[in-house]
Amino acid sequence: MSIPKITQEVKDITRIERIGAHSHIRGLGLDDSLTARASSQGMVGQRTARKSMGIVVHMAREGKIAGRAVLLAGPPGSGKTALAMGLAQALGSETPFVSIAGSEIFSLEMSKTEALTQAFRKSIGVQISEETEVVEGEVVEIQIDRPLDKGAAGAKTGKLTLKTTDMETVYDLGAKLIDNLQKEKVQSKDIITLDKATGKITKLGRSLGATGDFDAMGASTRFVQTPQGELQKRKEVSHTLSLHEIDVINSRSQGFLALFAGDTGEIKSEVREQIDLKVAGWREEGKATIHPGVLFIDEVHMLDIECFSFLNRALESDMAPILIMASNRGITRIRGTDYQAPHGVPLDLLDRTLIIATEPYSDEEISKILEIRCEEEDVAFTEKAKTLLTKICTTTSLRYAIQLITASSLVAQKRKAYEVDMIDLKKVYELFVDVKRSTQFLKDYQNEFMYNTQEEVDAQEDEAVATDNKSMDTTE
Amino acid sequence: MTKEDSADKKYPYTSSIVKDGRKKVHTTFEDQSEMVEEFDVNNNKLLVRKWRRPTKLGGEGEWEFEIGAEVKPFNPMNDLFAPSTDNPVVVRSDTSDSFQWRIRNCFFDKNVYQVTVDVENQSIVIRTSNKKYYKVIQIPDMIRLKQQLIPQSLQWSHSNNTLIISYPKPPALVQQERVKEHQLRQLNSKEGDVQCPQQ
Repeated sequence: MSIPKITQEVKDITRIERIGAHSHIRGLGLDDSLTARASSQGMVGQRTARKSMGIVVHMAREGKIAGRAVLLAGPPGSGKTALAMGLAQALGSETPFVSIAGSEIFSLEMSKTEALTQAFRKSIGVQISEETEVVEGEVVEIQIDRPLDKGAAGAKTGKLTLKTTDMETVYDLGAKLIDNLQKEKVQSKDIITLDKATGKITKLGRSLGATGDFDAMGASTRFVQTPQGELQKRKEVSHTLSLHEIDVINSRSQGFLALFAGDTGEIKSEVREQIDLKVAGWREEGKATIHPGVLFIDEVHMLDIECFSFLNRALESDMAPILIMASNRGITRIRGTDYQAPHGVPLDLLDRTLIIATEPYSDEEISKILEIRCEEEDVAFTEKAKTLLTKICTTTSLRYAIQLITASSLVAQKRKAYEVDMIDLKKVYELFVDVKRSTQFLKDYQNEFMYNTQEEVDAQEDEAVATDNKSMDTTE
Repeated sequence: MTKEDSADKKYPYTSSIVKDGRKKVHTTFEDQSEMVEEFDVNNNKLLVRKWRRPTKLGGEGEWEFEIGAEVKPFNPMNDLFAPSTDNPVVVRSDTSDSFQWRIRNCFFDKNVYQVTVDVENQSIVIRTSNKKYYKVIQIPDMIRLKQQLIPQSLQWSHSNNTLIISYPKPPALVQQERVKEHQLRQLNSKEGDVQCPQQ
């Protein structure tokens, strides 16, 4: 692996996705009979949990059952969020998947229940066909101008030339659409549809005129006739919106009243009721189909007792999505009360949830996960360094070990090595302290820190030690 | 005025104001579609007619211009995309006895353009022999009157890079518009912003 410095321009063309904590997960890694493969689609171990999630996928796909709750319980770093991400991938882009963190609902902008209601409504999709204005044609040329100083905030501008068999038009492009064009990798001689209102790009295929351009073509390359007539036309397009999006469209106060409404981000319950009626009407007429999705609440123990009782109630609605919660707590206080409960979740809610437990990983699984992460972060490790990293992982934590991957690769780059070796890893291990060593450090030097409450306790301890020493002295 | 308030109103109902030297007339129809017509205060010439129809998902739709056009500069930060200003632009601006369209930015020779009436689809079609421009124009007024287009009545010319297309208004429409103009003179519109009655 070489380490060439990638210039901004090159990066721009391919648009590399940023690497996140769970970006290596591409699914649940199950086969058709819902059995978990040892390592597949970025998932390792956790076989029973994965199998259970597979059943949840089936439940969501059928979309018949409303308001089921699932709780993922397990120690930190055992793959709860990874399982949820895998589920999202397995469901595909058709089924809505909304992921929030438990603490997200404590916002000053809106009440807790409003935030939860919005999350619920975001996870229900309504597929509806609507006549929209589109521009459909063959791409003649895309021209993108970048501002001279790359770091500047100035927007990219560009021009797109589209044609039909009868006409040709040049369009000015906005920054957002340029991003979309690059993401979709639109090229000259592609036949595309641009939605005028949303800027959504649909690639219909390659122009028939481009048949002879290359000898080799991908199997999925489709050739399409260049459209005729006008570029701009009205077309019946089927798209999926969430209930929340429809709420927002309808809740905008009209005219001068908007000045007084104040944008608190809250949606009136009357608007919601009206939308529910409207959607039910569409559904009966066969104009729309409902796709109940999945709502994932991470760190669910951060919710307080009011939220839990709201959840209990909300799950009873027949429009409710499948709710997945994750918690890494044991038996602990329910937020907002003095009662203790398993996972910090009240018993009445726990009673109606299916609980999936995740177990700590074995050594082989850990080394496999680290290997996948190294690949994802594009870092090569020598065999020895790999074993050392696994060892660090077992003594500290999986998250800490993953943090070391990129850090150590940067150290290795500095000594112009292509692979990370033991010395790089050692250096990083010394540079960045893990939780255990940090606590030890605090214990050792606590007198030098401010406001240390342990002082008195320690003073007593010191005395005790001193007396011990004395007694030892005497015994000597 | 919200839609609920207007439930007991008789459709279509109209309100009007005078602003910026234009008399603006707003009409709401029974299906909640809205029409705004803007007339020059001095000569009562119709400058703009635009429609806004209710959308399926709710919320306010976009204004559609039937006569006149809106000048809206393209902002690359917020807007998605828009035809570049170098492209031909169609604007309908009628005279008192004919429909008229002006297509600006027509940079080719006159013989490149070809303007015809498509009898089958009841529309005017502009073609170019070099396949650079194509446009189908429909006349909503003729559709509303249920009148047929006659190819022989169409006139067009090309000068100063502008294509001017005219088609005579049928006598029935001219008569109708004269009545409307008379009503307009009677219509008592106030200068400036209107106060809502409930305020």
